[in-house]
Amino acid sequence: MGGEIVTECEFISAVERNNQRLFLIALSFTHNHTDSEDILQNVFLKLWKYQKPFEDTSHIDKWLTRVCVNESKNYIKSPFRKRSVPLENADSKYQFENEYDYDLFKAVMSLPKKQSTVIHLFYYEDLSVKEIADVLKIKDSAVKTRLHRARTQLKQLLGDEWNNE
Amino acid sequence: MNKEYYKNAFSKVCPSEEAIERMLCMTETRKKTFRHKGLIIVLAVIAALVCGTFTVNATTDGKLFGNIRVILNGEEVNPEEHNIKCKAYVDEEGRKIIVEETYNPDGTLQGGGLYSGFSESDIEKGMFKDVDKLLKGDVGSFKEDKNANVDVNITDITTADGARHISSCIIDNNESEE
Repeated sequence: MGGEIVTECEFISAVERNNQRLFLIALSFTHNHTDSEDILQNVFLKLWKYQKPFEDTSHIDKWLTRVCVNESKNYIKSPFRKRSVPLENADSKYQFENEYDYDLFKAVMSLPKKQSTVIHLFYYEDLSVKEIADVLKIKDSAVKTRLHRARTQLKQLLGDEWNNE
Repeated sequence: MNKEYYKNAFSKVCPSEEAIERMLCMTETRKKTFRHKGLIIVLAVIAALVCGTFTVNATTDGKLFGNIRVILNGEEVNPEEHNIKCKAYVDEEGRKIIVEETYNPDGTLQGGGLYSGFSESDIEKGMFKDVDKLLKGDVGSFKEDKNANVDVNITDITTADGARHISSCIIDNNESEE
């Protein structure tokens, strides 16, 4: 990569490698399929237009995560989001393997957005409490509180399907 | 245990093929730029020749030229060709609102959106009410900002309620990109 801006090949590879992961991050913020696709498109547009060099693919992926979180935060602050289509109309797009997976998806999407974001970054992105606090620009204690509340809620909604940890 | 359960469930949730296709097509924008280097130079010369016209713009309070660039699906477009109208408004504290409206060929309103730099707390305090009025043509306490320098990024998705998405809005080109 050595100091060059992203090439077409690197860009396509970054889209293929990250599109689902970033879409899920955006979805954890918006709970809305179309809004999440918008955010995703905007994130990759920023990558394509970014003029500074990346060290390697890992650097690109971390940059994309941070931009996706920031774009999602900006998006949900916009008054325009209040005019968009809710998730209930869109979740039939996904093909779940079984009803338990669908139950978990519905349960996470029913959490307050601040909690679903933290839960997603912890359980899917494997980020630590400290890393989540850094990327969301909130305190460690706030992350722990949101995680605790979200887990309690998921336990209530899912019963034995969700383990106490 | 929960992590495996979570990852397995969410592995089936992904963006549409069409959305991925749109992202992969973004590479066309830079290609076009490089392919037409000569054309860009010619255009730059023409631009330099007509820059004096900006004086006229200033004397007409910005009415001659808008500084709002419209990017539709990743490509800068002429808003008029796509029946898109974008306007910037500013409130007394200098905060900006961008309103986008798209019209059908028969002149009827197809959809629109707005984008603001207001904080969530401002919106919660009721600012959203004022902002929403703008879509209905009620300017209220806002003033049109004819000299605004804005990039409006619109994705060509129309939601069920007829609204179009402004996926981002870079005001005065000062937005941080990390």
